[in-house]
Amino acid sequence: MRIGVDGRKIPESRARGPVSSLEHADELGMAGLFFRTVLDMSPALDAGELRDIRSKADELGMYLETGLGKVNPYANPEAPELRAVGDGDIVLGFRRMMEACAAIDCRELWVATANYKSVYSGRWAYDRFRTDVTWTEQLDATARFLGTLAPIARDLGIHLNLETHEEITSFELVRLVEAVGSDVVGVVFDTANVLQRLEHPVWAAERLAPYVRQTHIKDAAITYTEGGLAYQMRPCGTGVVDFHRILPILAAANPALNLTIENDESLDDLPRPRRTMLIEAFDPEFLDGHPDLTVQEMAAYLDMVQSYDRQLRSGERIDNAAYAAQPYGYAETVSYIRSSADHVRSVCAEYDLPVESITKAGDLAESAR
Amino acid sequence: MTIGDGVGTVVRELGACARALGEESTPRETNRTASGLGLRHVEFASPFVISPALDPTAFRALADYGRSLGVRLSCALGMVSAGHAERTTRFREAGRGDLVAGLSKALRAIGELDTDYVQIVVGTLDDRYDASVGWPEQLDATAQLYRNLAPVLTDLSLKLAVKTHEEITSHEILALVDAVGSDHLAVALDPVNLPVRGEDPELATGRLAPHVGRIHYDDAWITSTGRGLARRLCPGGQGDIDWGAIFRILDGAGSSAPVLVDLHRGEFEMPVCDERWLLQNSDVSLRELSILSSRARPDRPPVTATAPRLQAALSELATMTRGTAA
Repeated sequence: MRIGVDGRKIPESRARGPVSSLEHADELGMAGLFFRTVLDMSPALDAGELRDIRSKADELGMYLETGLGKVNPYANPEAPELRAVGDGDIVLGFRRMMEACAAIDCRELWVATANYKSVYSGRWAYDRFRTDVTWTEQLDATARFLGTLAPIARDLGIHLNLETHEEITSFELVRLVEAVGSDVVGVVFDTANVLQRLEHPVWAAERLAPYVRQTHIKDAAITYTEGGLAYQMRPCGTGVVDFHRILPILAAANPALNLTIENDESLDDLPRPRRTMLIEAFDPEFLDGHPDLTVQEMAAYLDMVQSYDRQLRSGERIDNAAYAAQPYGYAETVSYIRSSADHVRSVCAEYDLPVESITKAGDLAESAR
Repeated sequence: MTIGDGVGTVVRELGACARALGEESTPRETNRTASGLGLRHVEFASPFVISPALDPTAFRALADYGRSLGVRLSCALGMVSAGHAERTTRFREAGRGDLVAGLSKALRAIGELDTDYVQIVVGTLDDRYDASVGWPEQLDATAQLYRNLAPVLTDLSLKLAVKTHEEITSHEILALVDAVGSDHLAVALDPVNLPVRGEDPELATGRLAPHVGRIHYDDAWITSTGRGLARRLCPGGQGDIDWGAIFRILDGAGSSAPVLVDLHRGEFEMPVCDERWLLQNSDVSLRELSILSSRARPDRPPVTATAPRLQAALSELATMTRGTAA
């Protein structure tokens, strides 16, 4: 396993571009970059540009991961670039992206089912609660579209890895993988998103582990708030996600898995109000929208929330308002990434998990011995 | 004292369980204490407290005495279930070996109080987890026993009011009401017990509201223990039972049941993270579990002293009171 960082959310990614971001990540001690989509790396799928990025990653000894886009036909219109890159034919667009990825030997490719709608609150932010098309219909359409892409993926030796994105449950992901085939479909495990579906991250890890091929390593505070629970991203080790239990599960299933820190994006790069996300955990309609959730898992989840609440009350953790009031620019984002990586690294060391030498600085120290 | 304006539209009698007014008091002393506090209703815990021989004239005399003080009386039967004969030996003796006859005799005596509902408790928490006989089986047998009392209940125009005690869920009580018949079985709503079964007091009240014949007032904190949740008794008005909301639900259902101050003693933990516990409590729902958990405070010791709790209960209920004894 290697520890890297998100290629879109690493600070200054847009200003620096992919090649320089790789160098930047290397300077920060990261062993790889995970660009969300290949269009982030090269909007025109320019083979030369993509080769340069691959060369830089190889030169630095870093992993390079990427992805495609949304594979839910009901969400795809929100990303017109997917159709545009196929000159109007979205399947051709995906084929072109997949071929471009395969050409630089990126064959584990992120895909996802919808876009989080931050302008809305509570369940309306999640497309599983859309009123124009049911979530079941969206999942069915997603399975059909993945089925269309499957032969292309199979031909290119590619896995389309569905993220545990905000709107989808791990139960639904397992069913999608098994319906389309685990030879072409896998999972990008985002360790914190599942919290928004009231799933305990450890329980989700156990369900997903056989299919996890990419990761977003992420942590969050879950706290009581008006109308339910508040979700706020926090550096790994300072939220509710128990990496001590999750990482051994992931490593046992896939010892070669790359662990990509998904940091909160710097306010310098993306100026925005620092809102928390509302999980309407006490709302009957919200709960009815989670038919796979068991009382047992909910009890474990609430126990995790209670435990975090005790940490807040004891002063071991700071509350959401105080956290959000802190500055969060370049320096703080770098510190967020470093402390997250340190936490993951220390957990890996504690459990003797197979983490490759982590930084170039580490490599140098190794070779000097 | 009646209760109404502060919490809704329905005027309710305010009273107390006799035990809350003094453990050692005689029934007449309890009446005087109630009257002195402005209470208009007293419920005795057992007919044998009023007359060990279940003598109807003793009940009539006590009711007359209460009436002279402006206090209406009722009387509970206590813990009555088919599976625990050891708890009903006195009734069986009164029936000369026939439990139903003995209970019928007690009900006829209680009828002399001119009451409408007779509170009854199914069992204890241990009964629910009794490995020798399943809880559903115990409930079925108890339903049969209560059904056997139907003739005397009809004759006296009485209903049993089964208490939402710590061992039984609102869902199980509704099934019991269904099995016995709502013309014979009603509910004594005791909200402080509902969280012990993982139920939200307000949602459970909503389920039970059409059947409520008695309301037991107390308050408790829901706490988080690190092993799960706990119910810690506390003075009225300080805890996590939202009585304003509960009265509004009952008002909405048209229930004018009297409110009885009932000072509980049991401390209960709910190990909600224990899968075995959840399996034994299959009525626990995602929503009610999450609501209870959201209310949970850090664990703290209960307030067990009865005097301050009685005072707090009365002053809290006074804030929801319209007028005084008229």
